[in-house]
Amino acid sequence: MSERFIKYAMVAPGLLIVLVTALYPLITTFYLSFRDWNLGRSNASSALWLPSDGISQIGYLFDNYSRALSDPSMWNSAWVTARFTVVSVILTVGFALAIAVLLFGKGSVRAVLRSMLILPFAMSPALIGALWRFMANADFGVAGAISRALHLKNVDILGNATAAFWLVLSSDVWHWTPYFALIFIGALASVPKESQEAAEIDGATPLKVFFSITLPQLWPVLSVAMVLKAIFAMKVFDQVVMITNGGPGQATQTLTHFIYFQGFKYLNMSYASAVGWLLVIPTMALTVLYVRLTQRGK
Amino acid sequence: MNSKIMNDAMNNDANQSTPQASQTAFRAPHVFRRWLGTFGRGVALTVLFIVIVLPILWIVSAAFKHYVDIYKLNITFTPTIGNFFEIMREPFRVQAKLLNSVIVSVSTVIITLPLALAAAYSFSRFRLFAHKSMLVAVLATQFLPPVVIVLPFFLMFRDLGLYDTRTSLIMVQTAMVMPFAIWMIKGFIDQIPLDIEESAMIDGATRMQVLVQMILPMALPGIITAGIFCFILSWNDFIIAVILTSNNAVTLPVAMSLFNREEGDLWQLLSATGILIMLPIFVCATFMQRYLIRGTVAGAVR
Amino acid sequence: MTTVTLNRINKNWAGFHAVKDLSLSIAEGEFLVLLGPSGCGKTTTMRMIAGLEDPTNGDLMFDTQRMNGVPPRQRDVSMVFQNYGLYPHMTVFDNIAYPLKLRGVPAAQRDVEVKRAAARVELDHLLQRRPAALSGGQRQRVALARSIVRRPRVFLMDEPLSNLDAKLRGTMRAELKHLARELAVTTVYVTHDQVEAMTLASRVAIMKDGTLQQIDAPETIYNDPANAFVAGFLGSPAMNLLHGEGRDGAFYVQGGVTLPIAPPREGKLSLGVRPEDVQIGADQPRGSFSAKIFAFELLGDLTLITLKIGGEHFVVKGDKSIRYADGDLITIRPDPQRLYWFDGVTGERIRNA
Repeated sequence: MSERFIKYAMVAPGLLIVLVTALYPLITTFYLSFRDWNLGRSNASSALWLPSDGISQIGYLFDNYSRALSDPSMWNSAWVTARFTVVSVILTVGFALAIAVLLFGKGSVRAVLRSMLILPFAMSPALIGALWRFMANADFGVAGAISRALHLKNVDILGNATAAFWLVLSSDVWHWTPYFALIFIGALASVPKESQEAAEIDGATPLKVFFSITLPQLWPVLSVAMVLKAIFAMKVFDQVVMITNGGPGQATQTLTHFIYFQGFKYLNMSYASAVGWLLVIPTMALTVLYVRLTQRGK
Repeated sequence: MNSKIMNDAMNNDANQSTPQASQTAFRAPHVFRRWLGTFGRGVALTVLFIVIVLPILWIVSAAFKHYVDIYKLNITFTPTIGNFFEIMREPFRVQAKLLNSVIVSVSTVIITLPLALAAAYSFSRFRLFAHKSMLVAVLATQFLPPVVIVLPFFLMFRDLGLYDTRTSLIMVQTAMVMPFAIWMIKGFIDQIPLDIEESAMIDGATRMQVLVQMILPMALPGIITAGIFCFILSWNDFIIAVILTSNNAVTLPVAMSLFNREEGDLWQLLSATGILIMLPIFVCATFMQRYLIRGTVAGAVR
Repeated sequence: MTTVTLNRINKNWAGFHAVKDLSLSIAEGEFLVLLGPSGCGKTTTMRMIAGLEDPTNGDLMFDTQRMNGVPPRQRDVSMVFQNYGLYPHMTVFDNIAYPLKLRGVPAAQRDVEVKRAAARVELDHLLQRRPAALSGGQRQRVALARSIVRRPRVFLMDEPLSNLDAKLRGTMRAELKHLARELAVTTVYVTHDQVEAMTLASRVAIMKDGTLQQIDAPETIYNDPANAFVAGFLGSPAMNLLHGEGRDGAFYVQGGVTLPIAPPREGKLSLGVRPEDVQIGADQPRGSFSAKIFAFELLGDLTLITLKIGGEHFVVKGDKSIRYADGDLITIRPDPQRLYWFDGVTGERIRNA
């Protein structure tokens, strides 16, 4: 068997699976976004525009998209997603960096804590969501315990739009921060110790050493981490469903949740596809950025 | 320079006072600052510990509480394992969901690993058509919103009669974890020196034999790590399962979500189910760390 | 100009005693070399002087000031690291300027000082480059420039030449010596290379396993070693050491050979003779003996003749023109004025009255 055959034969199955699962959905949803289909009413999609309708009617093709762009719920979700992404990136990377600095170095206490860092990441996000909802419960949860101890009136986190938003956000930050902290610890180890010691001798305080010597050298890792976290934030779903299911009202309804509702609660397959494609655009942009950043040295 | 001035001042002091005095005065700020730093660090470490442990402890303790204890928020309580029995009875029948989870996740890993190994080996050792783009394409699928990916499969499975089956779950989850597996295993294979394969081929081995007899044993830490990682992803998955299943093929995370009712959640049962989800993963995660470290060290030593 | 005094300094790390009861004083403007094999504690000692480590006990003094616990930035020392310790994200100019910037020196003056330091090490044309774009020798000069750009009380150098290739090392050694003399700052230099020690030092402190073996001018250490370790460390090829026993007024070497050289006393002894202090083809029967040639090496400027005496190797330096073959028997006579006797157990030098 020729070498050439072998190398493609080896790659084929794995690669095929991956590509099919990427391309098939993309193509299908793209197609569907230009058709009309409500699963509750019919079993197949119907056309929004046929050549026989004439060129002047071609605008109907974009019905789903124009509906999306004028849908205040969609814009609300977009705004929720944007806020969620920005804040979670800042908090996650910030805390992760602080934890990495805290846990870097020798000592059994630090070693034990470092080994615990993998746990939040290993937990199912759905489970974390359920857990957060439990803890936020005014009767049964940590929130209840605290409000009782402080003799506050019944605290309702889930009913308050801002509080609920921060609740969902905190579950995401809790899930991802330790993972990034582990990555940053590895990055800290690769900063040459001598550049830091030289700065100490040159006259810098430990704080100054961190900000003007260590941090600049960490920048490549930090920037990749931020882009990665942004991509993950845009995919958040499990916790939204488990904690608030989009509520109160639509205060925590991210775009993925919005699409899910449109497609599986209201059975609007074509509309969901269109909004899905709108979400693909920023995600792809971030992906391109990620690839650029990581392929730089290669 | 500053220190010269300080030095002169110090010398003057030294002439007038005992050496002890100048030593102590100079030393105090450092000692205090260090003590403050250690204290602050201790506080931070404690806070971090609490933040990580508290949620986990919360759910673990809830799983062993009677409903009454949960309602009353007792810190001390008489533990019970009754919850675990209750979720196995009607109407929950968690053991069926547990079985689903096990079958789906194990099958996913079993299918993914060999394919990923072959693909990773090929990517590592050969230059393929549009090599760089292919590599990027493999990873890029990870960044599409899962909801966008699952929706068409939902439609397709519905038409094929595969809705609510374990098979459909296995198919989509395999596709979801495959890129991770390829990427991780490739990283390990990259670190294996070429000489070993080349001498094997000179000795008469075919590529396949090289892969199975040489690469597989040496990349084993990486393969195991990738396998554990994929298992975790599959076991914890919620969005794919919730869309593609409704009754028969329901997995544990979805089962857990069903304990959220409109009226009165059964937290103690939910927690018990949560433990079932958590336990294997915690075990895996601990193993993964060991292998991760070993794998990295092995690469460096080589 | 500062004196540095170490008074009974100890450094312990979780059971490992790196520096044991070290006391020495470094005079103003002196160039002290800490010499020794890996793990002898020389780098640890320097890091304690720098403030990167703290002594477990003992006193470290700069002039009359006790420095234990004082952070490095307040000690006014400068250090050249073995791997240079450059700031990879800054240009050469910014690297050199950094210590001045930290001290609040205004930009205009910084510019002058940096350029002056750079000129001294011949880096003026490279000021806008990043360290990644420089060769090893250039990076080392950046590290040097950064250390001289302000006038510290003490210069510290941790094996600065060991990462350079042999040829460059020779050139840089000469440059370092010149620079040190020009600046006349108290300098502590760590190395395992005895050539660097011999050529650069005003005094050499040899360390082994955390203890100070001897501290003296290079010449003294070479000609008057305090123990067998010091004797064997300096000199290339190393001093020959024959182990044996003094008995009945004669020296019995291990392996059954008796040498016609009178030992200073009875008991286990080691005899040290430098390869260049041996005469080939004795003209005097007193103190000469013959031995078989084990190996003969032609170096171009001289020859190295390795003999086997009682099972041990014995190297003799010979004139570049002589020729011998393996197995030949030759007569040699060590210079009686240049014999070094050491206690066979402790290695301590036996000095005749």
